[in-house]
Amino acid sequence: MKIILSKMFLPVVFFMLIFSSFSEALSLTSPFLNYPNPFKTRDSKVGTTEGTYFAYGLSSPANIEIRIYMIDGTLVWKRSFLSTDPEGSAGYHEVFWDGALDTGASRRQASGYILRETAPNGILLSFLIANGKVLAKNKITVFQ
Amino acid sequence: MKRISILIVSFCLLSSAACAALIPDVSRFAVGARTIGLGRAFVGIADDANSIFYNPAGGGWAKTGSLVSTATRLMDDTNVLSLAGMFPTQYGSIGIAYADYGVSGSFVTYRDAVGRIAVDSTREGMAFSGSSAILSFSSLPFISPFSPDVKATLGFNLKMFKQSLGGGTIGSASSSGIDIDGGLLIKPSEWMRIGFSALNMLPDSYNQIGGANNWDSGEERKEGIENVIKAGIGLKIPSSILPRGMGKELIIDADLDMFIAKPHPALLHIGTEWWPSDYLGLRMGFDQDVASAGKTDSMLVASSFTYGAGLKFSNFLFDYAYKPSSLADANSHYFSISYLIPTFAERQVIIAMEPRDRTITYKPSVLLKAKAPSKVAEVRIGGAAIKTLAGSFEMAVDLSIGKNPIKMEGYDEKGSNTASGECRVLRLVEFSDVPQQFWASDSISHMATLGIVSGFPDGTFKPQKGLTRAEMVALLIRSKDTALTKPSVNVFKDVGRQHWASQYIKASVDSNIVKGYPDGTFKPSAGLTRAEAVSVLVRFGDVSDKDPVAAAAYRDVPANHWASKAISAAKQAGILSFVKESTFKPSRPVTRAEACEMLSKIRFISNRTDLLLNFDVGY
Repeated sequence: MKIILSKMFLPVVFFMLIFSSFSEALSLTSPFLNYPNPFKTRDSKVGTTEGTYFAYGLSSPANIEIRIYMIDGTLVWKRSFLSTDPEGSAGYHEVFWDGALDTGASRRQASGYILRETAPNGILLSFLIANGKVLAKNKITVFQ
Repeated sequence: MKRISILIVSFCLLSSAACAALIPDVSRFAVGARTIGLGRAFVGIADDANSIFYNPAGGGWAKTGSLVSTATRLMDDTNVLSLAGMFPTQYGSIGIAYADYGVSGSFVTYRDAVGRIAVDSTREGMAFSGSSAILSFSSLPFISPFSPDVKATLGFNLKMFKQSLGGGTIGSASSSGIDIDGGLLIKPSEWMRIGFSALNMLPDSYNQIGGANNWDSGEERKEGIENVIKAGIGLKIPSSILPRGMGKELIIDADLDMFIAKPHPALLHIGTEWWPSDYLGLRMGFDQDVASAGKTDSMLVASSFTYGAGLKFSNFLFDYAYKPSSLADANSHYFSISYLIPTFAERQVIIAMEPRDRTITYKPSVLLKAKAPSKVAEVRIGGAAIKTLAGSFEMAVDLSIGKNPIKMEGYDEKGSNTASGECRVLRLVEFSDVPQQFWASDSISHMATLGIVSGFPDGTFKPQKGLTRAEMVALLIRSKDTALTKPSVNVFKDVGRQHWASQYIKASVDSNIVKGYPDGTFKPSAGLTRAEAVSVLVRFGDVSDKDPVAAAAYRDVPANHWASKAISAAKQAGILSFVKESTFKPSRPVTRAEACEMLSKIRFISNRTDLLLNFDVGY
């Protein structure tokens, strides 16, 4: 069994290398950006524009993840999409973020409205990860 | 103390705040490389200027000042610089820290003619920066309410912070705010510390007194600062406690972060620092943080290991730490340079002139002569107080057998504790018939001080007297501090329940140290020969006699002697170093002095002697 496996090892590696050289490399057909930038988060009291749209273009389908980190390295928001999802297919896509943190506290106000913790004023770091690798990075600005 | 605890918790509960956004605290990321290498576990140890960020009560224990400067680049984008200094004074420790961070390169975007998002290249990029200045104070150690033997320190931080955001369509905006931290550090033993701290205690709803980051433009937004309660336990194990060859010092700290105002789980931080030599320290930590789980209001605990090393040259310490990120490209490297300031503590020290600190004596009391700073009007030692004359004073101090920590606390005219000093005196047991020149005087004195041997009521030791089997067994059992139980039946035919050594003999039989004779007797009063004593000691001290030297150890102990293996092994292990001749005289009765000398060379007893003579432990 060991001999069979060792004999199969080199051909398998060879064919994997050949296959990977012919397969299409994933690239961005449209840069990873957000609009508006700067933007206001959902808790904004004035203004009509709240939240921001992350835009990116994919050359081929991929498992996609968008991550947002505070400047201290805390991962505060993350969304994942499979290559079979619309956001993971080839082409131009936009994903919305309202500025609320997954890691934040939610508080019900006297009015019944739930106030969610949002990103503070400042710059945050966003990453577009495709098939487990960082494809692009973008700095987003929150300013109320 | 209870009132202070209630006050701190009340503050933190009030901090649960109305602010919809929280800014990151510099205490999370602008800290020294040493603490990052420890997995950010530092609340219990808190022994350098980094304690300002973790537990402001740490400064009160510092004997020397320290300065720590740190540089790092977080997520490969945010530049962070910090400087922290801690300076012990006669009133307590004063600390100052400053941290600065910044990131730039965020660009204004617009939708183009086809509705796609693009960078507006006509506008400048946006930049964000922040800074924090911290003023810290820690009290001098005071007797804790828990026990008169336990001392504690209290510390507070006043934090001032600023942030600014500019460029792009923003123009220029800035914010500022203040907050406070509190800390408590208890030292229940020489090498254990228990710490608590509450960071950012001010409620952010109280705009006027701080607790919030207030923006002066835009919507004049108010942001809170995350408040967290930390509890930690730290161990600083010196070389004297560590097994031989295990280096100079081992530090272990475990902290728990608890969040009152947020639904965050408690986060664990564990760190260990090992100094194999005076110059090199190695660190490893286990760090936890919250992270998004990928859904709204859904978080998980992200754990990672951190690594670090420190190099010490003179008063300088160079530290490096590596903190991996969940993104391969965003690992963080921390670099710190620290300077230990040696002079601050020396100014406020009461110095024992006679006897000097670390004195060994046989006397039952000493006349302590010491010199305190001139502002010290009264010195208290134990329950006694004495007035000083231009700082000098004398006091007779009784000594007990063993370690005597003479703690001197100096008070000024106002009654403030402004100086302290320590004189460590070791009193050894002395016997009238064992002069200091006697060849085995050290081992007899050490064994007696440790309580392993005792003398006679007339103050003598009778070192040349022979040892009976019962006496030898008692010696061995006492040296191991074995718990004794009164036998319910006769131990041997000739060792009744009422025999003075019945408990020792029973314990030694239970421990397989000695055996009786085939006829069921023990012969407790029979004298012990040197060969028999060595044989018992080799078995008792786990000295290996499996591979003794081939050649006979002594001329009069041939290879076929019943105890030759044990005698050879004992000689190899250094137990018989007192035998200077080429003969051993195995059949000669062993004396009390020889038994003491041999016993003192057994590994675990020599470790106990080392501890007894170590002035850094037990005072």
